[in-house]
Amino acid sequence: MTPARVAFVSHNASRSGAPLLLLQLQRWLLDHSDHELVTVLLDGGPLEADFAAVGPVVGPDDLAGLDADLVYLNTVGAAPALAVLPDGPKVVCHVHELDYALTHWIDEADRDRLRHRVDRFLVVSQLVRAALERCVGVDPGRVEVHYGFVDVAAVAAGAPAPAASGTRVIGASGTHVIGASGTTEWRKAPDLFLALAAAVERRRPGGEYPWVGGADRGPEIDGVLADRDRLGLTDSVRFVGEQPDARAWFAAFDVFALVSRDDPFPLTVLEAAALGVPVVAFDSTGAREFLADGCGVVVPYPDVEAMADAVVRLLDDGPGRAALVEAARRRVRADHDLGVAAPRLQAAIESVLAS
Amino acid sequence: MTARPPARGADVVFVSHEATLTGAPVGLVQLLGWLREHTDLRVEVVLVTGGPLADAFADVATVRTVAEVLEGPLPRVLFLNSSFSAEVLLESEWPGSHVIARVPELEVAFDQALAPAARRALLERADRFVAVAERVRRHLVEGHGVAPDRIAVVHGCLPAEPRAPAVEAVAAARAEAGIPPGAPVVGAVGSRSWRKGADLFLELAATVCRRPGSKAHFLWLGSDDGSWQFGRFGDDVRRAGLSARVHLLDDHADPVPFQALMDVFALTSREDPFPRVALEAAALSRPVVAFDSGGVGELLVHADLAPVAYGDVPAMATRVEGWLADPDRAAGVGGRLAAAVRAHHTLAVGGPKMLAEIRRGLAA
Repeated sequence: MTPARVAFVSHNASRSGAPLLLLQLQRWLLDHSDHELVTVLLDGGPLEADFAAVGPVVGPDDLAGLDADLVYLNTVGAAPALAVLPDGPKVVCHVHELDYALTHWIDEADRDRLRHRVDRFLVVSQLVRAALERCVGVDPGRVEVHYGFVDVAAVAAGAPAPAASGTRVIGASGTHVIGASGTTEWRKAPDLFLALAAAVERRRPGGEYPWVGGADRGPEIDGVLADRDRLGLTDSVRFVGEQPDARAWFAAFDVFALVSRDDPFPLTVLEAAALGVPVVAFDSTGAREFLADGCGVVVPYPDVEAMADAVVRLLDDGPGRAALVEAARRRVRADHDLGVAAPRLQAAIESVLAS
Repeated sequence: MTARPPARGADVVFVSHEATLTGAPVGLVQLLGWLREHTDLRVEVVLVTGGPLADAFADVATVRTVAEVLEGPLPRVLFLNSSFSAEVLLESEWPGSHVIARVPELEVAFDQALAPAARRALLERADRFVAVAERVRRHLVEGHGVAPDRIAVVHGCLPAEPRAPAVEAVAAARAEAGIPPGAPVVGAVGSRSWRKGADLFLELAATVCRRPGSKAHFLWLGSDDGSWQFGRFGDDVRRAGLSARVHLLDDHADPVPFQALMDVFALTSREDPFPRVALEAAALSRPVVAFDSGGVGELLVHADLAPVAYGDVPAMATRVEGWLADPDRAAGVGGRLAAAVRAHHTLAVGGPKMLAEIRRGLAA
């Protein structure tokens, strides 16, 4: 491999899936290649120091004079960078977005630049591939699926005993804990989490339902909290906000419920699998591709009742649950571990550089 | 349309926070028409913001700005048509005016959406509250410590028994909605929003459509609330695989033909004190199903119906399916609801009750 200068453009440095995945890829390349890595942050965030530890970090004003052999757009949210990028470098775009983002986060000029300027698209699921074709008009021949990944060993090592929040420990009462994680925006569907909790409670009362991440109060969640109270779930459903180590919470879940309406390929599902927590999800998300073949349970969106039935089955069926957990654990190790997936991404980068 | 201040103050100034095609302003226009027909009261209207009903207000009363009203002699009665009208209380103490606060809001609207200063002013300054449902009265008493003897309950009402629309108009509405002839229709009317539970309507549709043999179509009549989730609600319908079965139409100047094509009216609101759209559906002999989180149970009780436990979409789906499968039973329920509207919820009943509250204020 000839050393090259690779510039990674991230739309921000938030502690969310795409920037976290990019950091893992960059660290992998630092250890396994001689490429010179530069990060362009279009906006800031709590991961800025982590990016700076990988290599030089520059801002959007530096894009026009960027000296790189390859530019790696980490999301379509970074597509506006194409407007000022010099002509020379090859361009890869890693797409983590579905229809709404592809049609509303970027404008037609951005979509046109994506169609004409990007040499290869790397997408995180088949669902994203279809959305990219449908919403941007990208030729499927220029698209490769590279599913998301986690450092399985690190996830498992980072999961101590069930986590505490204040004085209360989830699951301490010995009852079932059905958990969820993510931001509390509409597309992640905290409203459907309430519906799920209500439906599970109708079948199996006395559960606990923590949601880790997102807001625990404020305009984004106030309506949901009012709804929680209206449903009589005030004591059982808790939105605990951002937690220093979400994995410790995950480890205490009996079932991980991905209630998202729209989710390209959530890493939280991989983390749950790595921790031996069974996952249920709607078929409107890319998680269905990981959960297929007995690695989880997928129900039609928005069939909350079917999801509740699946949750109760997982609580009751010891052998079935164990088989599902084991299948998911095998799959996450085999296909979605950093050590497996990062070399594939690296190969894609090398292939574009060599083209 | 505005007018010069009169030499003496109006008997009553009604304040509407807007002039949209929504329950509270529509009801006020109709009440003003009834008052004009049945009384000699000198009535004026302040519209805090405008909307498509502005001309209708101007047809039934003199419309003035709050600044114009405050320039001249103040009215003997200030009638706030909703809690959101209370912002006029922040502009003046309205000395000498008897303040009647009509409250068509429940917990989220009253406790969260209403600005704290306006809420405080309303609770302190109102001489009398008119709650649109017992459920609202309980909220004012238990949630805000309002003395029960400061509150009257006057349920919402319609101007008169509606005339059934022409068959052709209903067929045209069906065609506009894209619903095949003969297909059963479950409908809702209202702003496509969180409070009105448009998302719960989709869950209801998904639940019914999944059940074997279901042929029902679902129609939501009402524009989105401007939020991105409900502005893009069609995406959610597509994601649920229901684009062919769930039909979304924006506000319509004449909703009656759409309401008339509904075999069942489903009120999926999270909170709705006493929604006018449910009265309208009932008046058209439509069976109505609703959650128990609002006040519509006070209408349903007349047809020996109880609302469904809030959030229990499968239970709502079962009731809907039962009516679709048994049109005679549905017609019976619809007939009882229509009779209830005639007996309890027309202006012939509600107008005098509201007038009594106004006269009580004039005499104060």
